[in-house]
Amino acid sequence: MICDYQYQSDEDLARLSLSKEEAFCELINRYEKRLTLYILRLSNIKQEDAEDILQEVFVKAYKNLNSFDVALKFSSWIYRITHNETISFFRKNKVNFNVVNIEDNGLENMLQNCFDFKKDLHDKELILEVKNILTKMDSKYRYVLILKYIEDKDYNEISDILKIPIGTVGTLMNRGKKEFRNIAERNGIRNL
Amino acid sequence: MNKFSSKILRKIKKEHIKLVPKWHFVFRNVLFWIVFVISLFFGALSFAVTLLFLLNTDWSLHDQLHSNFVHFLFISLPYFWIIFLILFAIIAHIDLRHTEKGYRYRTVWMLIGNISIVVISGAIFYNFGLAHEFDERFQKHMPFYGRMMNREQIWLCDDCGLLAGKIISVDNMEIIILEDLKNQIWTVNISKADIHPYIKFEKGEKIKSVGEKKEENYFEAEKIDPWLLPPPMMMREMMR
Repeated sequence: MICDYQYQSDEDLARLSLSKEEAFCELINRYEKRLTLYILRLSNIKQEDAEDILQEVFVKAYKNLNSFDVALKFSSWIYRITHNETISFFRKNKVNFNVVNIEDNGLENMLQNCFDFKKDLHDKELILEVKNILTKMDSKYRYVLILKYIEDKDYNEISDILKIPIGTVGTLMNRGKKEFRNIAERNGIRNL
Repeated sequence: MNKFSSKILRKIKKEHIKLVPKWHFVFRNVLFWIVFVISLFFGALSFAVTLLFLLNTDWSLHDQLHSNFVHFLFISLPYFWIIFLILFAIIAHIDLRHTEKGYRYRTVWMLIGNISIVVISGAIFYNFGLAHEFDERFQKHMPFYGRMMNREQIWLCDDCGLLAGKIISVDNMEIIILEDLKNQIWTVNISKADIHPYIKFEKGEKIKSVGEKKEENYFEAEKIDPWLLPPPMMMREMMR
C-alpha cells in the first residue's frame, strides 16, 4: 500500500479516508509527531503511554470520520480528540497532569511571544523555574497558553479544540498570563 | 506507510472497527435541536401561564387577608409554573450547549437569547389564549393541580370576605347561586356590587368576589370580577 496523497489538504484526506485507507494513512503520518509532542506537552507521561493514547486517538478519529464537520479545520478536530483522550487517560490512570514537559525551545518561544521576554533560555535554572510556574498554574490557563504559543493555534482553533467560546479563549489567555506573572513574582523571577 | 500508521491500520482491521454511519451523527444533532425547540415551547407556555396568574392577581388584596404585601406576593406566586419555567429553561440551555456548534456561544448570550425567545413566545401564547387553555386542561385532568395553585387557597377565605366559584343560577340580577371552590353552595347578593364589564352572569361562569359573609352560606358582594380575564385577543373582540 503506498501513501501517495502528499498534495491533498487535510480536509480532503479526511473525506477520502471514508473510502480509502491510504488517505487515512497519510493523515496519520502527517499528525503522528505533532500530536505525540502535544500529548507530552500536556503532562510528563512516558513516551509509551503517549503512543498508546495516540493510537486510541487515531482509532477514534477513524470511527468518527463521518462526524468531521468540513466547516472545521481537520487539525482542530484531531487536536480536540487528542486533548480529550489525553485528559481521560490522566483521569483513568490518576496521572498528575499538572507536571509539564515542554521542550526548551517551546518554552522560549512561549516566553518571547507571550511576555516579550528577550533573553535566550540558556540558564537551566530559569528553565526549571518556568516549568515550575507552568506546573503550578491552573490547567485551564496552561492548555490555552500551550495551544497558542507552542502549538501555534489561533483563537478560533483553540475555541474548536477546547470547545469553548472564542471570548472565553481570550479571557483565559489574559488571566493565564496574569497568573503566570503572579507566580513568577512570588517565586522571585522579576524579568517576566 | 510508516511503522506507526501500519500498526493503526492493522488494529482497525483486526478489531473490525467500522465507521460510525453519518446518519447517526445527523440524527444525534437533529435530536438535540428538537429537544431544544420542545423545551423552549414548554418554557414559553409556562411563562404564559405564569403571566396569566400574575396579571390576574388583585395586588390590593393583602389588606383583606390582613397580611403585608411581601407575604401576599410570596403566597400568590404560581410556583408550579415557575418551577416548570426554570426547568425547561435549564434543559434548553444544556441542550443548546450540546449541539454541534453550541460551544461557540457564550453562556450569557445563550441565556439572553433563550430568555428572550421564552418571554416573547410566552407573551404571544398568552395573547392568543393558550395559557388559559392549558390552565383549564390542567384543572380538568389533574385533580391536585388546583390545590397546588396558591391562588385558589387565597379565594377560599370566605371569612376574610373572599369568595370564588362557579355560577349555578342567576335570579333577577340581584341574587346569584354560587358553588365555591370547596363545592359549597352560596347565595350571593350582587345588588350593590361593582361588576366587571366582562362578567356575563352565565351558568358555569367562574367568578371571584370581594365582599362580606353575612351569615352561613350568604354573601354580600362588593365587587365581582371574572376568575381570569379573557386573553387580550379575545378582549379586543369583546370590545368591538
